[in-house]
Amino acid sequence: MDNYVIKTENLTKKYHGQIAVDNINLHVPKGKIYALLGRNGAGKTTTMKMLLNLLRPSAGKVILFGEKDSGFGKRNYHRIGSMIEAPAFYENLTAKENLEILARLRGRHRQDTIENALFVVNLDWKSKKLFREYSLGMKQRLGLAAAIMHEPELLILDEPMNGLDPIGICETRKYLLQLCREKGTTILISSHVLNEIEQLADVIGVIHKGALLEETNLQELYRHRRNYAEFEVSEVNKAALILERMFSISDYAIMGGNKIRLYEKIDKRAAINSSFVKEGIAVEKVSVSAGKLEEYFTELVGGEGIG
Amino acid sequence: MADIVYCEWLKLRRSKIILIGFLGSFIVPFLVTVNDIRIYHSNTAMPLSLGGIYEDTIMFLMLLFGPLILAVVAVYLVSREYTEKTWKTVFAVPVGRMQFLAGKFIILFILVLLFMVLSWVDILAISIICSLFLNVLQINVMSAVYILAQMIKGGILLFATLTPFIYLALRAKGTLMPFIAIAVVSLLNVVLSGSQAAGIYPWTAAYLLLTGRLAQDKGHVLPGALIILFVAMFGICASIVRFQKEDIAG
Repeated sequence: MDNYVIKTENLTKKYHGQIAVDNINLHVPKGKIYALLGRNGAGKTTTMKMLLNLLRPSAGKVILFGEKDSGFGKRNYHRIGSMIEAPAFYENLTAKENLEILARLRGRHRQDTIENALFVVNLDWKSKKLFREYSLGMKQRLGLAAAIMHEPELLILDEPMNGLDPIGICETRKYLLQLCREKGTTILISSHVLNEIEQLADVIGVIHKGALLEETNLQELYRHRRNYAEFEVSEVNKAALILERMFSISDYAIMGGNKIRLYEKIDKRAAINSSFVKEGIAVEKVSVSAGKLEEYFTELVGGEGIG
Repeated sequence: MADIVYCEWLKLRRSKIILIGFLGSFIVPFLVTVNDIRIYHSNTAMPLSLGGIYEDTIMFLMLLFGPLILAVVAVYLVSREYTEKTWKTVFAVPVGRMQFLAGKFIILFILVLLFMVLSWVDILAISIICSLFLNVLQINVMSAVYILAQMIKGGILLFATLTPFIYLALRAKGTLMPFIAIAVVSLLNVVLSGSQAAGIYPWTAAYLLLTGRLAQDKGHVLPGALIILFVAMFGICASIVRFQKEDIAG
């Protein structure tokens, strides 16, 4: 038996003939943080909704907790916490009252469950403030409290950092990491904020125009992709000689378009630049590789248009 | 199921719709009594009576105010889940869609009965207050119990004719279309109430059945009752079918 908490087989969703999610085969390993990356409208939320049975798949199937033949059982909801898109609660109720409804509907909870959940997300459980008076960040925190309240084995979080202030983002990240590492909670998270995902995810899946382009372990990705500094110079061969003789750099590559890319001693790029200029080499441009994940993501999905 | 119904009740906390329903249940007996006092002053041969206030109240409740206010309540119970996008939150708990829908119907039934019982309390209170200054006949326990029983029967019949509005709210996922339907139904109630078609128009048939007027016109009781039953079953069944296959988009 495989060790996936979520597995999908050719999961597809069509709306009026338009394909929103196209034959996706997700593999979310147990006890890991899996980040679903994609541009706006890529199909992340639709996929998550199908996992939660909020949307009926047009084709394919979802296998949760390895229960292949049972379909989506109601009991799965005891094991799953979720937050999809902007958190939605009853606007005429307080945070505590809203969570009380969910706790009652779940049918079993300790007396302090609501209080603890609100404490974790830094919301006052005694507050009489109504949900309609909440800021975006407070709504987001209440959404997270509702998702974690029953200590689920699996968390499905759609853009959970949206609207949070920097401290809120940092605390949420720490809490999710703690949940995963200490309690073994499996987390499926979607986000646009790639540097946030870099600090959080174990595995990433890139989804574009409804299709899952790639699933990869983040550590493996880093092993294969290295940081570099790139110089665009007038004479690449002369520049290469300078790198070898003056800086003892052997790990470099000559690229097309008069570009030379070095993979070691990147921090010496200012000195290298000065040496190039002193030796009469015109330096048109110096750049350092962007965040590894960002670059990988851009390469995969392409960078055209505002997403 | 008790938890689901209780949660439906919790959701209505601080909700203005409850205030509207509460005021609505009081306004009809009050206005009817004011009108009866006016008639009494112009013709003292027609004294006020508990039965008279009840009869006028039940007519306005069953034909106009009841369908109007309670249909709005029915639509609100469902449409708010779409407008506030809360289905996706409550569906992430281990409760089936059928149970959620049953919870909606049960809370509507409770609210309709509450509305009728509050109206009954108001009829009694106004009659007793009037009896302090005027001669009001039939104020006794038997009459009060009879009127309460009639109000409860009226509530059940009203509920039966309100179920299609739940379906409409599910279908429209908002309030506009159901509110137009409520206006049309109420208008037709007024237009048809005195006509031959009243016995087969479900919303007027409910009033005629309750007051025994349908029985006076022989042969119309069964078709009228069957039409009300059909409307109730249609509202419930269509809602179930619609809700079971629905994608939660919001």
